[in-house]
Amino acid sequence: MEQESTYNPVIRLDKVSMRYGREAEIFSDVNLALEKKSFTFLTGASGAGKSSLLKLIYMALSPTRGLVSLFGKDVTAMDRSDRQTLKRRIGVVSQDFALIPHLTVFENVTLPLRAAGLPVQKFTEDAKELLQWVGLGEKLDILPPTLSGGEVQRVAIARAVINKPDILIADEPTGNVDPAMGQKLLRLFTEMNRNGTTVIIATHDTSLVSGIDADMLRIRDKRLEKGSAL
Amino acid sequence: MTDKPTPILPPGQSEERPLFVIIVIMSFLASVTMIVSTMGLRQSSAWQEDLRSSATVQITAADPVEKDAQITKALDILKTTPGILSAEKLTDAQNRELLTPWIGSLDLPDDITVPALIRIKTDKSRLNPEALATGFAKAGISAEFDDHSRRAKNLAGTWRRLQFALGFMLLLMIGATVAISGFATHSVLNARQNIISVLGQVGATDKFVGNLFVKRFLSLGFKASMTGMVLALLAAALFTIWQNAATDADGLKISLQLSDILRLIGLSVVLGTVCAFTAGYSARKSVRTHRPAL
Repeated sequence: MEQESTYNPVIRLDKVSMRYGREAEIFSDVNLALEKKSFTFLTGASGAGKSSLLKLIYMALSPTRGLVSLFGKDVTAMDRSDRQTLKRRIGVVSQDFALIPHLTVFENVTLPLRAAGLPVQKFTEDAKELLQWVGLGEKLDILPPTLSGGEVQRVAIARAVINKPDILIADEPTGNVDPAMGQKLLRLFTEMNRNGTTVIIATHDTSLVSGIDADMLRIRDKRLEKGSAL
Repeated sequence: MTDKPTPILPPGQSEERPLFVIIVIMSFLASVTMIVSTMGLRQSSAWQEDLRSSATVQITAADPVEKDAQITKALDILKTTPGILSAEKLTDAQNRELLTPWIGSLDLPDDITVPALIRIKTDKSRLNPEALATGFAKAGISAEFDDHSRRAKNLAGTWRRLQFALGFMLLLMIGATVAISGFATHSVLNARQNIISVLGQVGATDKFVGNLFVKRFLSLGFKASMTGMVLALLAAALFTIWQNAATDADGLKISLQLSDILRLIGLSVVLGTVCAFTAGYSARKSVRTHRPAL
């Protein structure tokens, strides 16, 4: 495997363009460099391409043009299995939360550990503690279809952070929770950030953005620009 | 919270049921083919052994008195010839019985001479047919010696070709198992796209996804192929009872032996393994196609 040249910037996009099939480009020639331990909010109008940009970073999509680098490595040129291994260093909270319906809350949260071939038993206490923290300590054996929208969202967040990722990517992570829980989850993200995790959050939630010392990025007219609070 | 984790791929999906049924059928057909092949091989070996260990001497003299004299001389020579274990002249009735398949119960015309036959048991390793023929010639006996080698060779050749055909059929059945396992894997993958997508998101490798299918289909493949094998064994046992009851002592008696059953278990293991590893391979390949960005 290629040696990591540097951890700064930990996420880098060089002249990246993206389109779905034959449709018009969602964004063009986007440049981005996020340093390790940075905390970034990504904003933009609905349909501006926030989710697509995040998917490019967590390698669920490939760019039409340009270069995507993570941890100093060009992922577009990387071997498939290396990309999959690299993905374990990224925690993702997608907009659809993507839980597996027949697995319990506990099993969904510990899924990244299972996928990495780690012994789940070793992390049982960590997982319980984390679920306790997000207010789901009593729901370890519950199946996702019986949870509320907010609870599902918190399970997805717990799953994204269980293996203490180097990068945390969250797409509207507080959309379905009440403001108090939203602030609590934000505290989790900032705490992780203080411990070294690079955090990037796409959001519409103005209350989430205010009061946090974070970089602001905005997608407008297919371009990424430095922004300020909404 | 239970100690045993829930399988990531939920078992008993409707997409798997046709696969189960088809593998049962494939296993049944493959087991029947193997049973037929094994029983046929055993019977053919017994027939070839019979042919190899026996021979026939035909005394062709036309005059009845001369014929009897030559038979007596021939039996004397055979008794002292190395490699001849026993020699026995067939009676007129036994001779007549040999002709029945060709002429039925009709009497032969008087002017047609039927050669006398001496049936001998031989030890081929010690018998020298040329020396025997020379001995007959020196004694003035008009005899033809037939060691049945031509028929034994024909039988062995026919059996080899039949075995090749049965082996080819077995390969076709394994091929069909590979094809249906691949097809079923695609169905399950399509139906479980949500799970595959989540696994991709949490960093599961293609190998991890493939192994989930191997585990899932290994158990299904073994259950289905064992079921097919047991059904084939039952069918073979019923056929054996029927055949043995319906034929007299001279008829073809068949039997199933422990080694046959062990061979069938081996075949089931092969089919179950083929099913599982085809599923794993198909899953990895399909995931690569469906998640190209990863």
